[in-house]
Formats: sequence, structure tokens, C-alpha cells
Amino acid sequence: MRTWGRIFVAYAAFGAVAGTVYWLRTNEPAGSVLLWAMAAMPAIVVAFAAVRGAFRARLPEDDPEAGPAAGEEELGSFPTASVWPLIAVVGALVGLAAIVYGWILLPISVALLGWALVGLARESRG
Amino acid sequence: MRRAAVVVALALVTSACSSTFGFPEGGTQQGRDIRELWTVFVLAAIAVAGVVYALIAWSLLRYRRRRGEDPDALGRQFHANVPLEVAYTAIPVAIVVALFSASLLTERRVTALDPDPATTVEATAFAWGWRFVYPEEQIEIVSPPSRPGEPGPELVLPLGEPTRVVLRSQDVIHAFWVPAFNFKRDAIPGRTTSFDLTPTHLGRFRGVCAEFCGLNHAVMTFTVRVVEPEAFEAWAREAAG
Amino acid sequence: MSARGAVGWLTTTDHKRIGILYCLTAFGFFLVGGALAGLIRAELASPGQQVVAIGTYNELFTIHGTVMIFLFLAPFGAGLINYLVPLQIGAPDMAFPRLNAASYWTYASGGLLVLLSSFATAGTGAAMGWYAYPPLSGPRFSPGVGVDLWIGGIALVAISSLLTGVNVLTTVFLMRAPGMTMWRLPVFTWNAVVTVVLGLLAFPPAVAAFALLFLDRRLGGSAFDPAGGGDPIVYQHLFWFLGHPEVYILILPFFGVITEVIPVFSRKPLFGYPGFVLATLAIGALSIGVWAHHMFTTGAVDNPFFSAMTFTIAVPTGVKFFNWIGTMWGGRIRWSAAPMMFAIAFLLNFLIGGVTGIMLAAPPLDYHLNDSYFLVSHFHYTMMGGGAFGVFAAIYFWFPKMTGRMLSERVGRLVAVGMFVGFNLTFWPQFVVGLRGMPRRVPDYPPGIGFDAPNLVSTLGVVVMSLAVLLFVWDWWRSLRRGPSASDDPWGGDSLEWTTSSPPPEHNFSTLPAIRSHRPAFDQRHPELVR
Ligand code: HEM
Ligand SMILES: [Cu+2]
Ligand SMILES: [Cu+2]
Repeated sequence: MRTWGRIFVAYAAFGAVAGTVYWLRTNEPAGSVLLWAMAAMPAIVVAFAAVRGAFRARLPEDDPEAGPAAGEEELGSFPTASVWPLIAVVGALVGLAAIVYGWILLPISVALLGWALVGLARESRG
Repeated sequence: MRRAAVVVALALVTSACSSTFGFPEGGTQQGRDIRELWTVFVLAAIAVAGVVYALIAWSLLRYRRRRGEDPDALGRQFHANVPLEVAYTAIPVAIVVALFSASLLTERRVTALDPDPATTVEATAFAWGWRFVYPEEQIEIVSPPSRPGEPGPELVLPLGEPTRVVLRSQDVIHAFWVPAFNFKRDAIPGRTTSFDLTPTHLGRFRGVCAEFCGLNHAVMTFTVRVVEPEAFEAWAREAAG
Repeated sequence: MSARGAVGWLTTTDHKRIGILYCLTAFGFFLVGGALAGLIRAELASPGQQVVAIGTYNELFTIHGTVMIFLFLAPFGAGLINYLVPLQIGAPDMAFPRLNAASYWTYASGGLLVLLSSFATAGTGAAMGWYAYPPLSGPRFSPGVGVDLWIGGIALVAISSLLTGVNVLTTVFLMRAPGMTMWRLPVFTWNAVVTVVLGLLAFPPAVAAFALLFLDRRLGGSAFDPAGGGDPIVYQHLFWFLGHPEVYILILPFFGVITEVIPVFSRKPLFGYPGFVLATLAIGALSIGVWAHHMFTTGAVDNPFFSAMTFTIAVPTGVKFFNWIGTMWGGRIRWSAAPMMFAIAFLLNFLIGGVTGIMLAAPPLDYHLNDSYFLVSHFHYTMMGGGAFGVFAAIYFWFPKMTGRMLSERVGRLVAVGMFVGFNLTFWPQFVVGLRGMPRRVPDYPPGIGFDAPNLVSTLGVVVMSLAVLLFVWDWWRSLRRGPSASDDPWGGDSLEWTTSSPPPEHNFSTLPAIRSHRPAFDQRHPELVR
């Protein structure tokens, strides 16, 4: 946990410095904004994780001495199959095709997406 | 024996230094500058790649598993060597700093604009052809629509004097490239960009569009003709009149 | 229980099956892209001939480039990441298995749209080059639906990789096996982490660029068309802000692959693991700051800044070479094993890609080399000579784990040698014609100015390379059904995937070993050497 936090902070610092140097040299807005955005994104993630207390918790995977038995509980269960991702994506694809080929396709897209949403919600409850 | 080896090595080095390693020699002062930088880079590349290839080859041959050896036998289990790691980080840093400096100096020279160019050409790229206007001499040269085998319009430059090229595009992005001059520059609609060409060789040189610009991109060619300054004057009078 | 047969594959959320789907789809795109390259080379074999019409040629290189970059190499890397990361960190699956399935299907539909963009558009196919520079890609110069479909397809691929990125990061940060600290992560997983971080940072601006381009095309915007007050340079900034990191998104997973392969076949630990990881992280950071080296010839960017950044990135890349050499040094190298042969070919080819990259990082040299065949050859030395050889190293290395069967080692050696020879025959001559002034993206060239012979050799090289690839496909098909069965650990591997069965069970592990280094499988075999 702490390691990746440090890495993200380093990336943020690099983006901030590079963006500033670039701005001072060129006054070119597009690139400067991109570099600062590169600084902002990891910074936001780290800040969010810190507020949530993520860096205080000590997980078994951060303990160099942890044995295989530690941390058995929390991972939960994993599905092995679900049709809904496929249906959702087909819905999105039809939506894109609608933009290019004509708006008649839009209702089909919305119906598929809605169906997938309901399906996903029910599956994750059951 | 030793002396022979030294002679051979010297011969190799000198011939390497005078070779251009495939790069055009450079028909302008700027192009020659660029070609000299190329020689530096190629020699550095050969040196670096030579060392790395030698190390790879040595490891593969010296440390190969031999026939009949126990397939599970391990190599020496060392993990790191900090001084070595520092060295193989620091040496590339030094090489890179040197190459960057050389490149920066050359760039300054080849992009420098002469305060008083001998003449100016306004070159405009369009799909698919070129228009060359000499405002001082009041000359306009426009290509006919480009076709395969057509050499395209002719850009005439005086030998030994800097000509300012002011480059624009009328529609999509093109690029002005004269391979024999080792130089190209993009022509971007809505922008103007300038550079100088100072020819060092008489002759005709092939020019092409180097940025893909649609169907007839490949035949969007032109010719550069370098002539003596007096001949240039004569040509300009005739072309204007 | 997962369903069997086709339905099972269509509805799977198992990271291993999704990983295999990615790899198979991506490899299919490699064959498609390769066939297009064959047509390109046929057209260029000699001057004056017309194998395809000019407009078709322009579609060919556009789709070849797009397919190879967005639909082959990056997704093959994503497939390996999907398959390997949970196994290497001892997790039962990815953090969000359904999201993972959705990423795969998003990528597959993106691929479909890209194919449609050229093959199903009756004369208005996308023909603007893989970076789609406006104004050429705008409504005035590319009016048909081809470019729209292309934008839609690439946008889907981008979204897919954002989803994968979130999933992989969550998995690596939160689901590692007990004892697997970040500094014990297997090297492939480290490279995967940096790859997806780069994707998360770089794809959003590109999506923005594509969205604006789409608005220009369909809704009368003019963000990039100077005729309406826009600026094409802004598009280039946004595009290359993705485009350059993208090349590291392409190559980093395969740096990871050969860094798994070389230690195993040298019977040694990776030399300088912390330095290797730091170099990977540095490449990740620096690669965000170099984008405009693709714009040196525009005369509209700060060349010294981008040149300096680009030179700098050579240092961590160089460090990796010494990691690999240090790993082989003092080992007992089994270099006749197919994965190792591909890894060695990777080293030999990528080095040439690297040193020519340094040349291109010098703006004055770029003034001659940019958009010439020299550049084409340079990036093929990295992406084909490096990336695609890494793909084959990965296939030969993990095929036994994925399928429980072995590929033929003898055939593998032949494929490796054939591809290596064919590859160099194809691309070395392209350096030569590039230096002599042959621009890229041209269907023809005048005879007698030094272009003829190298172009012919280059086309012959493709024949050799194609034969080797076909040989591989045949061996793959045969071994899939009749290959000798593989043990759990056929190579004497280092990372956790070699401690479970081949292929692994549904949730990967029944028991996990204690993790005390970045080579838990090795430690298990050699408890006497655990430090
Ligand atoms: C299978 C062997 C391959 C051959 C023979 C080949 C050949 C070529 C050739 C001749 C061109 C230049 C076309 C032109 O400028 O007119 C080209 C362009 C390109 N290739 Fe390949 N290629 C191969 C594999 C790959 C791979 C593996 C990748 C990347 C993963 C790749 C990525 C590209 C890209 C991005 C372009 C530029 C397309 C553009 O100009 O828009 N190629 N290829
Ligand atoms: Cu053009
Ligand atoms: Cu780049």
C-alpha cells in the first residue's frame, strides 16, 4: 500500500515539475495542461486513498513475514460466468453504430443496455 | 602483427570517419552540418551496440549449458552488484548528455535565420502540388496537377547564398523535403514557418512531399535547381519579364 | 461451474479464459495485419507496378498500422496481463471479473469497427494514416463514414484499456498473496502495473482528441480546422500525448516477458531487480513527457525540451539491457529453448531499434529521417523485432501453462531463426532507402534512384517471415490437440504460476507457498537457497 502511494506521489511530482518547466519555456497551453493533469490524477488517487485510511491499514501482503494462511477471509467469492458484460457491450456497440448509421438503431441500444443493467444488478444480489 | 592490427584499425576508423554511412552528403551548408552530426551519432551507435552485442555474445557462448550437463544445474546465484549498477547507469547518462549537446548546437545552426538572406521564396503546398513565389523578383511558379513521372515545378536557388523559404499550406498538412539537403519542414495550414537553405552544390535535386496528404501524396514532387548567383539573376529577370 | 463450449467462452468471467480470448483475438489481428503488410510489400517490390489502386494502398497502410498497434500488440499484452497477473500474485481472479469480461468485449467490438472502417465502406474507407491528422481526417478531405467508424473503433479500444487499467491496479494493490510485498512482485507484473498506469494517464486526452475530431466531422465543429479558426497542432499534441506512451504500453509487457524468460533459462535470478523496477518506473514517468518528438519537423514545438526528455529515456532502457546481460552472465544458459531464442532475438533487434531511436531524438537528424523509410524501419525494429518477438517468446513460454501441452521445440527453433532472418531482411534495407530519401506512405517510387534493389530484398524478406509464421500456426494447431502433455513446471520457473497445475484450476490455487522473494516457485524447489 505505502509503496504504490510513494510511486504515485513521485509521478505527480514529476508531472508538476515537467509541466511547470514546459510552461515557463513555451507558454504553450495544451501540453502544459496535459502535464499538470498527469500530476493531478495520481495525486487525487493518493489523496482519496489517504482520506479513506488506506495507508494506515497493514495488509498481510505488505507483511514480509506473512505465511500463506494469513488473510484467507476477505477476498470474497468470484463469479466464473455471466452473460451481462457481453450484452452490455453489444448494446454500446449498437449505440455507436447509431451515431454513424442513423438514429433508428438507438432504441435497440438503449433496450440492450437497460436489460444488461438489470441483469447485472440481480446477479450481484443473488 | 600488432602493428598490422593498428594499421588496419586506423584504416577502418579513417574510412569510417570519411564515410557518410548512407546519409546524403548534404547539398547545403545546413545539410552538411546535419550530416556531420549524423557521423557522430553513427559512430557512437556503433560503439555502444558493439559493446552490448559483444557482451551478449560472450554471455551466450561462455555461459551456455553444455551437452550432457545436468539440466537442473544452477548458475551462480548472485543478485546485484551496486558499483556495477551505478556505472552502467552513469555511463549512458554521460553519453546521452554529450550527444544531446552536440545535437543542440547543430540544431541552433541549422535553424538559424540569416538576418539578410539573398532572396526569399514563399512556398505554398496544396493538394497536390506546390506554388513558389519570389516576392522580390515578382516570380510565381505553380505546378500543374501532379502526375506520376512529372518532375513538378522547379525551385531555383542561388549557390552559396542563403535563401529564406517561407512555408505555408493551403489545405491539409504537407511537408517540404529535399533528401539531398537532409532537411524537411512541415507545411501546416494556418501557420507560417521559415528556414534558410544555403546551397553548396550546383545541380538538380529531387523534392518530395513527406507528410501524407491524400490520394496523390506520392506524386507531389518538385525539383530544386541550384545555379550560380549570376545565372540566378539572369533567370529571375527572364522569369519575371 | 462455468458452462462448456462456445457459450462458456462467450459468458466467461474467468481471467484465464479472458486472457486467452484476448491473445487469440490479438493474434488473429496479427495475421490480418501481416497479410495487409504482405500486400503493401507486394506493391512496393518494384517500381511502376500496380498491385492495388492508389486509394486502396492508402487504406492498406492505415489499417495495417491501426491493426498492429491498437488491435494486435497492445491487446496481446493485455491478454498476457489478464492471464498472468492474478496467477503471479497468487490471487483467485481479477478484482472485477465482470468488468474484465466487458473490457474484452469492448476491445473486440472496437476491432470489428476498425475492420469495417476500411472493408465495408465502399470506396470511402479510412485512408488517413494511423494517427489521423486533421485537416486530412476532417470532413472536407475524408467525407465518408470510414473515418467515423475508425474513430468509434479506437474509442472503444481506449475505453477497454481504461477499464482494464482500473481492474489490474486494484488487483495488484489489494489482492496479492500474503507476504508478497510490492518489492517481491514478479517482474512481469511490475511491467504490467506501469503499462496500465500509462494507459490511465494517456488515453483520456486521446479520447478527447477523437471526440473533438468527431464533432468537427459530424456536427460542424472546427476545433482542428484552420478554415474555421481551429489548430491542427492541438490535435497533434493531444494525439501524441497518447501516441508516445502507447509505444511503451506496447513494449513494456514484452520487456516483462523476456525478463521472466531470461532468468529461467539462465538458471539465475534477475540481476539487479530493484534497479530494473526503478528503470521501469522511470520509463513510465518519462514517456509522458516526450510526446512532441513526433512533431520536431512542425517547427511549432519546443524541440530542445522534447529532445532532452527523449534522450533521457534512453538511460533506463539501457539499464534494462545491462540487467538482462548481467542475468545471463555466469548462468547456465539453455539458449536452444524456443522461448529463450525469441528472447535473444528480441535483444538483438531491439538494440537496433534503440540506437536508431537515439538518432531520431536529435531534431537535426529527424529533419532528414522523419517520415522516411528510416523511421518506418526504426519502429518496426522496436515493435516487430521487439514486441512481436516478445509475443512469440511468451507463447512458447506459457503455452504449456495455458493448455497443458507442449509446442514442438524443434519447430520452435526453426520458427525463431526463420523469423529473425526474414525480419532483418525485410527491415534493414528500409534503413537504406530511407536514408536515400524514400518517403513513407507512397505506393510507388521512381526507378533508378537507388530504391529498387533494397525494396525488392525487403519484399523477399516478408516471404521468409511469412513462411516462418505459417509454420508456427501449423505447429500451434497440431500441438493444441496432439502435443505432448506438459508438467506443472516444464521450464523450472520462478513465479507462482508454475506452482499450480497446467492448466490452472478454476480459482487458480489450492495452496500457496510462503512468499519470501520475487521467485517463490524457485524458493519452493530450492529451500536450501532461501536467504
Ligand atoms: C509482419 C511484418 C510487417 C511488415 C512486413 C510490415 C511492413 C510495413 C510497411 C512496409 C509499412 C510502411 C507502409 C507505408 O509507409 O507505405 C508499415 C507501416 C506500419 N507498420 Fe508495419 N509491418 C509489419 C509488422 C508490423 C508490426 C508488428 C507493427 C506494430 C506492432 C507494425 C506497425 C506499423 C505501423 C504503425 C505503420 C505505420 C502506418 C502508417 O503509416 O500509418 N507493423 N509496415
Ligand atoms: Cu502533400
Ligand atoms: Cu514517441
